[in-house]
Amino acid sequence: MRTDHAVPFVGIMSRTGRRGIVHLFLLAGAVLMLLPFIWMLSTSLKNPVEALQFPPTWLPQAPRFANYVEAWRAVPFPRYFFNTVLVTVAVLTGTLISSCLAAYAFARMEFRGREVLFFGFLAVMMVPMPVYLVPSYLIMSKLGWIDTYLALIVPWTASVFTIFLLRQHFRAIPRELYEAAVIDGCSRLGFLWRVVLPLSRAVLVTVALFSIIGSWNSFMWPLVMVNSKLLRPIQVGLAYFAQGEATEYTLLMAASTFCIAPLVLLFFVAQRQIIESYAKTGLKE
Amino acid sequence: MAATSTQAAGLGWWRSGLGKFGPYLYLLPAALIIIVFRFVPILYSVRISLYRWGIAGAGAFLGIGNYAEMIRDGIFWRSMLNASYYVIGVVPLGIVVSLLASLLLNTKIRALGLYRTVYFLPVVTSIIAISMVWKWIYNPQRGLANYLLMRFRLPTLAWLEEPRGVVELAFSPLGIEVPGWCAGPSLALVALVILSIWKGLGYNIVIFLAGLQNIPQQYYEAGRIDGAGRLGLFRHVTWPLLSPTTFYVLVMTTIVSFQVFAPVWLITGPPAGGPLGTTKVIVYYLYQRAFNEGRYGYGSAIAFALFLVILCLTLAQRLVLERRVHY
Amino acid sequence: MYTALPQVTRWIRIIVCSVLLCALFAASGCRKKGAGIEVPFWHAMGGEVGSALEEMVADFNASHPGPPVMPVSMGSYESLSQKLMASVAAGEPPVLAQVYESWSAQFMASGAVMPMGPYVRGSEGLDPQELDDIFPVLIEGNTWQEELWTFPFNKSVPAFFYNRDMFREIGLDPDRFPETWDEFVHTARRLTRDLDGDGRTDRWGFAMPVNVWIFGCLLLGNGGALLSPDGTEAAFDGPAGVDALEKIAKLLKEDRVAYLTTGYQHQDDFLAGKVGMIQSSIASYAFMKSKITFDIGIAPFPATEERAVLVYGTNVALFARSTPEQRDRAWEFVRWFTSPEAQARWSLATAYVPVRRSALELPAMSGWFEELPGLRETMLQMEHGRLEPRIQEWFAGRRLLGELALEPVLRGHETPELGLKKAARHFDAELEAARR
Repeated sequence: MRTDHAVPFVGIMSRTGRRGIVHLFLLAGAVLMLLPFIWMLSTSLKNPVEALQFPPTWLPQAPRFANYVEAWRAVPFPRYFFNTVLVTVAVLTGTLISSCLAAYAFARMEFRGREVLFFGFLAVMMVPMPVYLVPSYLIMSKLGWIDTYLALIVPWTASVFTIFLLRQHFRAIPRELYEAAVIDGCSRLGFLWRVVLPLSRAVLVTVALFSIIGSWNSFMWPLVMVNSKLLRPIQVGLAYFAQGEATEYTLLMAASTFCIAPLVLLFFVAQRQIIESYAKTGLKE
Repeated sequence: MAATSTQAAGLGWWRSGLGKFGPYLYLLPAALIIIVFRFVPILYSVRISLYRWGIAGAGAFLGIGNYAEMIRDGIFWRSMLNASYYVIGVVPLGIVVSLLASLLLNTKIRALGLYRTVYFLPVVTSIIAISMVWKWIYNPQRGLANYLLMRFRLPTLAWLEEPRGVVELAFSPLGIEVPGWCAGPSLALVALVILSIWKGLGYNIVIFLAGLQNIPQQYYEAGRIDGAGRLGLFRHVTWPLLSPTTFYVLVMTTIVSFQVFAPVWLITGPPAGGPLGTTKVIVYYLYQRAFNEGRYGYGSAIAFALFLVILCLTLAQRLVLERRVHY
Repeated sequence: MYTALPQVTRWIRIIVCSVLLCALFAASGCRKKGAGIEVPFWHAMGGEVGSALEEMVADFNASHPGPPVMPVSMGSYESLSQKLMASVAAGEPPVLAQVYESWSAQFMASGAVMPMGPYVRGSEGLDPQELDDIFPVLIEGNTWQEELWTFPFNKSVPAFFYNRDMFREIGLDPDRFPETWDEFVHTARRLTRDLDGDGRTDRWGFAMPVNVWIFGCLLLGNGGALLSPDGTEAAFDGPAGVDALEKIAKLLKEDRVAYLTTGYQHQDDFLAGKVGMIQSSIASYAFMKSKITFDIGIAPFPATEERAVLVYGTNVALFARSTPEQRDRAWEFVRWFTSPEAQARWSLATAYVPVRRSALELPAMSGWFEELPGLRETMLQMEHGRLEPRIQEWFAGRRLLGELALEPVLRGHETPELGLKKAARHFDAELEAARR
């Protein structure tokens, strides 16, 4: 319930006065949030000399879109983008398949050890990455998966977080629907495919968004698992670009811009969905 | 459809979900991945930490050798300290600021959606890009941070290159010398803390907002009838009913913050780990030891230490704080 | 109506898709095996240096019929070491790769690499004069237990770059760079100026990042050592080391003729005309070349007592999991690459020091030496080259030296003696752990 009863410090001013104060603070905050992005865009369009000027200018004198072209060409960003897209799509596909099946079993089937297994999965997946990073690296080395897409994709095709969310949702589907379907001759899998999934579109979109955002932004895992330029995903590529080959901040800012652009776009398109998905993770429902 | 009884039985078995083994088959894909790529590595990690494991593979069996070495390693403890400073910086401040912001956002203002979007934007952008932008902001000669300080007639700072503790820096213009042990985290580390708070704000805000909006109106009305003022309402209605959410944010942020790595790797130093090793957090030290110096056994030992700390912290939070959470 | 057939069809579709996906992943994981023998050569050179290397490899392949040498750049030494380690563990190493001495020791111990010695002594090898033509420190660096295991590839020495225009401006002979450390300090003092009278120094004599190289050279110049002869403890905390560190710290604190930078800032500032002298790898010349706007000079490290400089760079190693043909071909390439003509070409492109002395006498090089006085002398520092400890623990040692001694001392938070002692203590613990 949106209420301003809960705001503890807003004083005895009139309603509009109160609103004004609230807006003032929020606006200031919003400016602070956006400032780095504005700075990033501004620098990305300057020429190198202007970028080094101090005090700095906000609006570039002559916007230099060539920076973007130069940054794009400086390292194989097209390749990096391709890698990220490939890995993201593959991980998403794998995660959806494995999680839908597992969540369905946890949600709607009775079997021995159901709760134990579920919490087992949960416990294992809660272990922080640094613990399994080194052994995974050594195991991948032995398997010969280092520097292949396999190391980037396969370990991430199971997500207990996704299973958790889906399980909650699948549980809520009424038993009567299932019984009716069985009478009509439907198998369990068929029920999953034809009834449960279509009804779960919202939560499927949610988990898809989480998966995409996670894959797109992943850094430490690919940093360790991939060495050659050919297989680097965007974030690793951007990081190496920043460290080695670029000393020009204009190029760096341009590269940063187009590396975050796709997700920003996705965000603007699906923001309600994304925000509400994140919101629900905090609620005990 | 005409079918023999065996065919019908087979179909029935199929339809019923493959009988007794059905559920397990459904679990199989996920279970396989989890076992092979999480469970096995975690067990393997224990093994690795008991050996001297280098770039040529397993070496001598050390038993608890790596752990003993780790306990005697001053740099290990320093890294734990740095990570702790980091968590202490990010968690309380992050929670307070995001709570305030969500309280403000929860009022009946228009453009809530717009504000929410703006505050949330940093959350979906990659930490690499964000780190690069902030490195530029923190540039001592030309960055935005010092430019703003200059505009407000404040002394400029060295930000990511400043190894002195913030407490020491705060008191030095007053001429007070602060003893070494309470100089506090370096300004460089605090610069990273600011970056993290900025980045995570939207996420916490959104969660708090959901929690706030879940509080039924009746409680507020009951409170007002009882004569509670704004502050009273906050203390007796909002805060207690928000406590599950607050607790969740607290635990999640702590766990995640303890594992910080990317900004340190990317924008501190060289040498990375900050001026005078003051931004070398535990995960970065692990990375250095394991992947830069080829001491995989030692790195695994560090990882377990980290895991233990996170586990203890989480348990401590549950034991101490969950009592005060009103469900 | 839910009939059996659509269910099965659905299942079949799912299975087919999964199989296709798996095939896609597997295919993306497979290495493309060429039709015939190849000799993969992994290196860490990027940018222009990387291109120069790849050009030379291509020329070799074109002019010498046989299995192609396939260079693969890992971009950085960090990536290269991780990749090598993983590939050795997987049993799929390359045939030839750049390696540091400390990696070689480990690979040798586990049997992952094969000695170059037999090839050097073989029918297609090098005769004694050619071996003598190689700088002694490079032979020493690649020899373990009297066998030549690896071969020098791209080696560098420290160089001082200076702004000759600035030298002229203050009345110094631009062809004469300080030859002793004291002269160097004196010159730095003369260069450091407050040009516009605002109380702040506008031009500095020297700028440096936290750098083990300078410290190491001064230490060796003092007659000291980094590691004790028996390899059991650090030796850099002795009087030679303390003196070396004090000298550097003095530049920053007392004489105030230098300032500390991070990353490549010192090079940028030098190129921008803010600093008169910097120290960098001789190979940095290749990176700075295109941005030089003034008359640049290059000179050897000013001597203290002894003439000694630390040699950096990598060698190449042959990996055991390869066929004799591959190894023969790899050796053929290495032999070609380290011939005087090829080394002259390599040096011209990258400013690395040629492995062979006689390369310095070739006409192509002479021309370059005339353009850039001081370059020849700088390269000849290789005659007095010394090596860092060739053990795996030295990576940690270098880090500890930098973090616990150099950085704190140069930032004014610690005295040289205490800082070096602290670093030595940690390093000794590291060495002890390695012996268990």
